[in-house]
Amino acid sequence: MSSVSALLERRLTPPDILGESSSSVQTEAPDRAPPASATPRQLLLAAGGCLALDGAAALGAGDPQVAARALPAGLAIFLGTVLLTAPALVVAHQFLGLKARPEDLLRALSWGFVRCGVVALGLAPFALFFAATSSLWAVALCGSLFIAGLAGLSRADRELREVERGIGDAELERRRVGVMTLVVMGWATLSFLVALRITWDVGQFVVGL
Amino acid sequence: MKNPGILTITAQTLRNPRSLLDADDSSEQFAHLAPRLLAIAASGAFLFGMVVGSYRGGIQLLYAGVKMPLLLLLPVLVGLPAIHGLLVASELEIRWSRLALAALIGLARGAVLAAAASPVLWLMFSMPLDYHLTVLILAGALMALMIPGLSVLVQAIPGKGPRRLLASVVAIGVIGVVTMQTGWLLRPFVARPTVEVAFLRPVEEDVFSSLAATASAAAGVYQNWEAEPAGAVGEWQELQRTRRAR
Repeated sequence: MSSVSALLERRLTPPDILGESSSSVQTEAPDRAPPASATPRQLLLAAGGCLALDGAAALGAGDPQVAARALPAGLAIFLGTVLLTAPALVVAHQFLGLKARPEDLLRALSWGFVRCGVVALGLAPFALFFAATSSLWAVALCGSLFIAGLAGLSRADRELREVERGIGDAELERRRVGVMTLVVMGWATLSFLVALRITWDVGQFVVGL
Repeated sequence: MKNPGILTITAQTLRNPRSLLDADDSSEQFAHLAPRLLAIAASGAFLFGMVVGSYRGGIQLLYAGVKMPLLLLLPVLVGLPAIHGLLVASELEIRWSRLALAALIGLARGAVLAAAASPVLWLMFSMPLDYHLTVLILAGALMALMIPGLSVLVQAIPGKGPRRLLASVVAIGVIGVVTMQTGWLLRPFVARPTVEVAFLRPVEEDVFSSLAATASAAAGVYQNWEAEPAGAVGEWQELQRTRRAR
């Protein structure tokens, strides 16, 4: 029994990849001012941008039921992806003993969502134009959501790498930022795949399969 | 120069559009330039449209003249919010007023060049040309004439390196795609000599399926392609037609 608990303890101990003793690895507030979080107004605007894009494209659906189901599609994909992947990001970050606080990671993600919504809002007239004048509403919606998603992902990626800077031992910062880059790349890949999977489900829901 | 006249603005859009863009970003200057640039773009495009309409003649002269400024303006109205959003996403901060001014200068530049090229097009249309060839010539001429206008928009994009290059390609792509669909939506510009002239055709299909059908027809593969009503507007028009028929 004792050998099992010892094994578990060894498994759960963060690897000492940063060259610091695991006992000293604690989250820290950055030396500089902590990154500001997106305000509720900005988050609401972003959600509104996603809804505006969905609504604009849904006008071309023809069938009111399909249009009604398409209305929350983009928002569902973006929020679903964040909800499913953010915990994995925070857990991986903590497990690897990186320094930034979990709430700073969530702040960084909130900026990604805001960027996503702003780009979606900008693409809404484009989607509306194709929904009103062609049968390409679904193509316009998928293309616009893809672009908005990529924009949000790239902003979140930049913000996430930034939160690990200016904290703790300056000599180890380079290595820590390197590890964080790998974590963020893994999270971005996971997010992309999860978003594709949710899009598949949402697509089936929208067309009524 | 403070508050230049319309002729000076026209000359500057051709000779050095950058000077108009960089001169003064005050809102008064924008308010002074915007209506004048719009007027230059509308009159240049109207003239070019009249020449395009001359292929058929009659009322089509007026129809094509009125629609041509819309063909240039609509893509800017639809595409500019998308371009601004994508620039912000690429961390290339640009003010709305600067982007709008660049688009207007580009529009005016393209329209003035189109008006200047009109006599060449008119001479070509005076020859007994096939309808499809005429449409292709028009599309090619429009593309060639819009490149100097689009270059102004690209010059306004800040930053440098691959990010700016990507943003420029995306901006041109957005304007290009919307212009193609707008052209399809506002057709006919070159009316067939045998068909009754109409200001606008019903909203049907899209430019891409039409191009695919034309390309396969050009390759000798004739598909039974028929334009069906499409989009919210197309379906609404179809509903109105059905109601009237009853």
